[in-house]
Amino acid sequence: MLFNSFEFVFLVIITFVCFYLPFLKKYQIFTLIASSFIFYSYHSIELLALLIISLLINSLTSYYVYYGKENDKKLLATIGVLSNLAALFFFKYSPLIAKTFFQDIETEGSIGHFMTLIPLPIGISFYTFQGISLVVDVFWGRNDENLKKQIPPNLLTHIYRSSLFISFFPQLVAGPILRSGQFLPQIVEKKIKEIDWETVLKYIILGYFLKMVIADNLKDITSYLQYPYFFKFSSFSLIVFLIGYSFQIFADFAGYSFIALGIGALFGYKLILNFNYPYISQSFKEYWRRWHITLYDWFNTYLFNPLVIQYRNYGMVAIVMVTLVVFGLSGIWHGASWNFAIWGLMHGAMLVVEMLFFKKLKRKKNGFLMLLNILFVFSYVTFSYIFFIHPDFDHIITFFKVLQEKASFDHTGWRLEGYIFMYALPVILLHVHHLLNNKIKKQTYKVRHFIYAVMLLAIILNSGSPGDFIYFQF
Amino acid sequence: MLITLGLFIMYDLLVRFAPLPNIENYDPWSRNIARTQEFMISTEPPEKVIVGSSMAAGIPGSQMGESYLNLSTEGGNCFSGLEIIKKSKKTPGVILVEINALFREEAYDLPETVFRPGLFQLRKIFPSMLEKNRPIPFLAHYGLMINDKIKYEISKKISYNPVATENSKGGISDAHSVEDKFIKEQIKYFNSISDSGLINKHLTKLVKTLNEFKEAGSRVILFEMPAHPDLVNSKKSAYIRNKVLKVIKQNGYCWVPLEEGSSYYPKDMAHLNEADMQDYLSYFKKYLEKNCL
Repeated sequence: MLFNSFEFVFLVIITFVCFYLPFLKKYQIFTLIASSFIFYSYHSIELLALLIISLLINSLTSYYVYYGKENDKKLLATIGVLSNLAALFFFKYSPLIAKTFFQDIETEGSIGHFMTLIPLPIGISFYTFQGISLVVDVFWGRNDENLKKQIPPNLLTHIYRSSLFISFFPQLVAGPILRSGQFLPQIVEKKIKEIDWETVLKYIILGYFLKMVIADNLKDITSYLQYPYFFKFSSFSLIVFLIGYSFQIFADFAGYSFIALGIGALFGYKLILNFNYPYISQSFKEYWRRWHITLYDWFNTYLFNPLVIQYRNYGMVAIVMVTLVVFGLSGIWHGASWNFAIWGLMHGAMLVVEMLFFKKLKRKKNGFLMLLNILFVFSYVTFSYIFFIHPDFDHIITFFKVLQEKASFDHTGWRLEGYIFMYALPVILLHVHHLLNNKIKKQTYKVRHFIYAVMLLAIILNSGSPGDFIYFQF
Repeated sequence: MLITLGLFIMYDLLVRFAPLPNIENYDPWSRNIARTQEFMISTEPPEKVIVGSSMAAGIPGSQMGESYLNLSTEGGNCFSGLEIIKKSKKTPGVILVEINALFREEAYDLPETVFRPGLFQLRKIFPSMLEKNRPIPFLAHYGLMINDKIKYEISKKISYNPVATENSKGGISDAHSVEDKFIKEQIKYFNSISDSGLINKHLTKLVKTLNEFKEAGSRVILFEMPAHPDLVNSKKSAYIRNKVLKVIKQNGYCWVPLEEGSSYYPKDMAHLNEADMQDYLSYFKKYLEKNCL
């Protein structure tokens, strides 16, 4: 179910009404879980079975990790984590394994062919990670008495609450990825008078504006970056389209995240900000603290830190290797294709370079150097998207050849390039505004309201053709 | 909300009483929607409708004569246009069907997008919500036009591979090695008929749909758009053409064949440029008048 569909709006309205009706208040959790199940299974009811199995495994393992026998806790935690990874691996990476290691994928009836047919359930990358987070956090805090507030002694209550944590529909299929400690303590009775309407409306309008006006319009032009359409354009045009893609993917993903935050706030749940103006980053370390914040927090907490601690005796070598491994894995988390691994490694490599040679680099507060840093990081990030856009290595090589052979400043009459600029402009202004926030006078309440009113008008009048959220495919 | 409503009403009144000049939509999808909406809101449906793929989309309906509308779908095939005519419940007097892209899967999105319940009705009432009246493309078009000539002159000077001409759309130049490779792949694809099952399935569906229109009173004309000789003479094109000729014979449709002795060499193999399109149209119109209309 797309966020920008009538069915979704209808679902939110019905859920909202049922959630806050006084005589249904003791069923608030049930209402949200039911809506989440409807949301998830809307296009394919079979997916619901997988989600329910995942919820049960995560709930049961996390419960018994806390309340079970001491000798069994490690084993149970391992089962919980491996179950999630097994589901992710089977559904997401079987086609990649088949294409890489099996010769007979075209032969019907062969194992390789079967593996290529395994469907990818929407959101599996997100909810398996939340499941792992639940199990591991409980394991790490298994002797912490305070955790009893999050893990109630009654098993059914725990299943109920942790099911809501994992399946909560605003963030189920594309994040933000929450830690159990960030969500479970919020599960209390919610009252309609506690809704922060300004936050709700601000996030929802901004989210839909970024998604429907910016991302959905830009995608109609950046689709020319796909094979074989890019043959028609000069290198200048293709580079402009690539820059447009950077803004599109930000608007698409950040848009979704803001909508999720807004709808979460509508039901009294504070979700975590996933994007913090990433295109003003002056270093790659800063960039990964501003882009898809919750994913990198997850990798940091559950992979990077434990591995670095495990191999601390190897010093900087360990840090470098772990960085590359983590970014390679995070790349491949985005898509079951080796080009994503390369994309991840490209970012890992820059982080390593920064760590080794620019450790003392300080964030510039203003001036030419600040701009240079920002442009460098943005340019590299944009360039790396070539590996994000083309899953086929042949197409990547062909794309570079076209860039080389058609190197010129020819343009499409400035038509397509101009539209890229027009739709990228609000994103640029958003970032510039944040950058200069301390230096410019705070806008009055009226000015801010007017801006939101214009964004809402743009949603009504200037939405692009509806398209899936890019991160739904992960 | 009130500010938005106020701005919306103002903009809607503006487009009703001072319609925006027509600007060429910048992307195929937008053009598809604009064409479809024009058909959808017309109180008197056009007498003649063209349906097909991007090859036929290049036919300027206005140059064909009075009461022509081109509902061809860039990126799709004739089925999108036919589906739109069906959903609109309007029956044109003549339906011209381009058959070149019958090997392609149907594009379901366009009819679904245009006829979305709720939005479809709102767009009929509020012209500001139509694709052609979107404010940002209009702002971009006129905002950029002011210095267009200056920018063009600058780009000509700094380009070290100058291929821009007065009417150039940029980017397309003489074939390079990478494009040669792409063209060879295209020719290889068109010389395979491994998708004959899909073509036959589409033909069966096409005949069923066209006969429904015929029974409702429409005259059905099928035609093939010209393309590069390597595509026209390919196995796939010949297969489709032969199957279509059988279907025409069995069902009594009219057929506009390719002009004998003429050849076109579009740079992308498939889409005629403006000059070639004018050339083709003079034959196309004459043939239609003489044999089908």
